[in-house]
Order: sequence, then structure tokens, then C-alpha cells
Amino acid sequence: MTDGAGALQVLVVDDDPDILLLVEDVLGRRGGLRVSTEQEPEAALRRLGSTPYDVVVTDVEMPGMTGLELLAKLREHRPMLPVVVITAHPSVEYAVGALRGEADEFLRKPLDPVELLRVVTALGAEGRNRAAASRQVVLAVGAHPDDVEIGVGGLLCAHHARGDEVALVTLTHGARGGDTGLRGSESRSAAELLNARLYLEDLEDTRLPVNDPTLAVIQRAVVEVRPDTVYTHSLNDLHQDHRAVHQATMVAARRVATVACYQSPSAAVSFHPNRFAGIDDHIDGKLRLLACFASQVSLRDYLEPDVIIATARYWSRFGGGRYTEPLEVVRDRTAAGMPAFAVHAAPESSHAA
Amino acid sequence: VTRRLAEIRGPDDAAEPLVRRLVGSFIERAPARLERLAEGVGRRDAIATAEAAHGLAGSAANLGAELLAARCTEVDEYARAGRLDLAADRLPAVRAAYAEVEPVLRGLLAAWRPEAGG
Repeated sequence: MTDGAGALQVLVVDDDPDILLLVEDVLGRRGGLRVSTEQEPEAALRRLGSTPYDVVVTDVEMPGMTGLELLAKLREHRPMLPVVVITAHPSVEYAVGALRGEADEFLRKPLDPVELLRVVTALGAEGRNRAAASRQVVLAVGAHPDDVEIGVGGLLCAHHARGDEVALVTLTHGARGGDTGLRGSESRSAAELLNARLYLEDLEDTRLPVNDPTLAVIQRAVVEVRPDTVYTHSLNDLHQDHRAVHQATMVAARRVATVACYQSPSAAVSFHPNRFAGIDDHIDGKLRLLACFASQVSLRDYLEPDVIIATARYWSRFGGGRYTEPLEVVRDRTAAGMPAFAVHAAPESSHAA
Repeated sequence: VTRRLAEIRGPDDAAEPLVRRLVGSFIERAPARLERLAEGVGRRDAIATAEAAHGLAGSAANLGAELLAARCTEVDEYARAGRLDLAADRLPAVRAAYAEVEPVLRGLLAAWRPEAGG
């Protein structure tokens, strides 16, 4: 039941604790899959925002939100995620509803353990193959610890949740902002939450050059990671390090299909985003990432959670939803380059940085 | 019931504790669930009645208590159709089906208990 990426991860949603026990035993103990269970559909949706599950098994009839409503919400964010709908309800109306809602399988209660394990394992393996074919590699480049998390923390959580590979480049330990050892370990903690490869360099804070060694570091990451998408600072930024990193990244990522610039707290009024990434399901993840930078929270008011939330809330006036991260898209050569799960075009004329 | 429990257990003796736990949990929770069902009917609350009947039907079916599952499903369908009068009429049949299956389940639990203690 495993492959190179480890055992399949399955989320089971049913308001009946006995059904959860049975399914957990069949899929987990007997099948060797990693199983999480939830009785509340809302809690299941929160889990789906933070964990890259391979399959969801959900009951149809639950108080608060039906399995079909859960399926519809889930499809908005994870359109390719295999979903098995189970029900004791005899009506074909439910089966038809489930299939119209794009459930991948429909199982009747009482569940046949052999059938359940067969269906979930087959769908999970198929889903992983599909995901591998559409999996993106994303590189986020920032001058200082916490830069990329402030700019695109929610978007990086979204990439992680859909199974994309995430890598981060942080060019300095941010010596001007405190103890470099501590700041380095904070960066590593945030990277761990994203299961991201971290290139943490120790170039001179506030004096980053546009050329080497800045360029060489970013170039090495681009060569090794081979990203489909690169996120970096905007040129419309008052901080000299941010502008230097932007310029170096433009050179290093010149062959990368999609390049977009994020907003920093030092962004100039000329920062002019033309894409808006909805992060409704990932604002909590973004806050968790930023909480890793505890040494800075008391020093930098822009790291306070209410500022982070208010900023994302503000940009939703362009992006829809409730929380949004703005991007200046420099280049988007492929239709699939920008993550389709979250991006809205600007409502007015486009602008490339 | 025994056929369904054998299906849950499969060829694997290690599933025995799960089967006991499912049966024990069902017996423990069933009286309150029957009570909720009766309350739903008494209040003429179609949603509460359907939810209670549906939940009990699923749990009963899970253990192979087919008659109880079928009786609960009838109540569920009547409640969904807004026919709480018919749902109320079927309530005694639900209770009778439970009264029939409960001793069977208790008997199985009692038979297992010495092993569990050992």
C-alpha cells in the first residue's frame, strides 16, 4: 500500500464514531495506510487545507453539512483529489448527487472491508499518478528570514497542500534584526512546516549586491530545483536588499516559465499587483509559518497577526474570497504555470513589473 | 449478525478487539439513540427524526442487524417525506427489532468476555 512517497494518507469523515473505528481499522491497521478521522465536516475542511491527503472517504448524511456539500467545497480547492462517498441511504438520488458532484466512488453501508480497502488503495494510487503528472515545483526567494512567508506564505501553504514541491532561498540571516543563529533556526522551522528545501545563506544583511554572490546563490537554487514558478521581491520596494534580490532573480530565473513578485512590508506605493491569489483556506497556515519567527514578532509590528490578516483581507477586494495575496506577474508562459486553485486576474488593465 | 461480524473480522484474528468494541459501543449508545428518535417523532421534528433514524440505521447495518436497519430506514424515509404520522406508526416496529437483536449482541459480548479478561 506504499510507494516511494510513503503510505497513502486518507481522511475519513463520518459523524458515527463506530464507522470511523471500522474504517480506521480496515485502512490503517490492515491496509497500512495513514488514516485521519473527523466527525465534523468543517474540521475536515480545515485539515484538508493543511495536509496533502491522497483520498477522502466521506459519509453523505451528517449534521451541519452533508457529504455532498463537503464534496462541492472540497472540489473548489482540490479538484483532483479522489473522494469516496459512503452512505446507508437507499435512495438513488444520493448516488446520483454524489456522482454529479464528481465523487470517484460510491460505497453503500454496511461497508465491505475488502471492497473499501481495494477502492481506496486503487484511487489513492491513481490520484498520486495524476498529481505527479501535474505537480509543480515552486521556488520562493527572499532577502531575509520571514520575507517569503510574509509575501506568499498562504500561497506556499496552498502549493504544499496540493502536493507541489516547495523550495526557499533566504539570502541572509537578517543580522540587523537580531541573533543570526536564532533567526536561522526560525527559518528552518518555517521551511519544515512546508516540507520545503531551504537554501539559507549568510550574506551581509542590508548590503546585498545585485551580482555575485547574490546571483550565484539564486542561480544555484534554480539549477538544482528546476522550478516551474519563482516568487520573489518586487522592484517596487523601498528596501535595497529586496530590490537587489528582485534584480538578481530576474537574471537567475530568466528561463523559468512563471515569475511573480510578492508584496513586502517595505513595498512602495508603486507596487502594482495584477494577480490575486485566494488564500482563504491557508490564512491559518500563513499565521503558523509567521509564528515561527517569534524573535521578530515583538520587534516588527508588520508581523503581528492582525496586520497580516488585515492585509490579506484588504487585497480580497480585488481577488474575491476573504483573504488574498497580491502578485505582480512578470511572466507566465504556461497556462498551468500559475496555480489554478487560487488566482484571479486584476479587474483593471494588466501591468507587468 | 454473525455473518456480518465475520465479514468485519475477516481472516484476521487481530480484528477481534475491534468487533467487540463495535458491538459494545452499539449496545451502549442504542438506548439513547432510540430515545432521540422517539423525541423527534414526539416533537413532530422531521429533521431530528430523520437524522436519528438514519444514524441508527447506519450503525445497525454496520453490525448486520438488518431488520433494525430496515425499520429505521422506513422511519427515515417517512420523516423525510414529512409523514411523521407514519413514522410514529413504525416506531414500535423499530423498538421490536432492537429488542430482538439486543440479546443476540449481548450474548456475543458475554461469550467473548472471558477471552477479553484472559
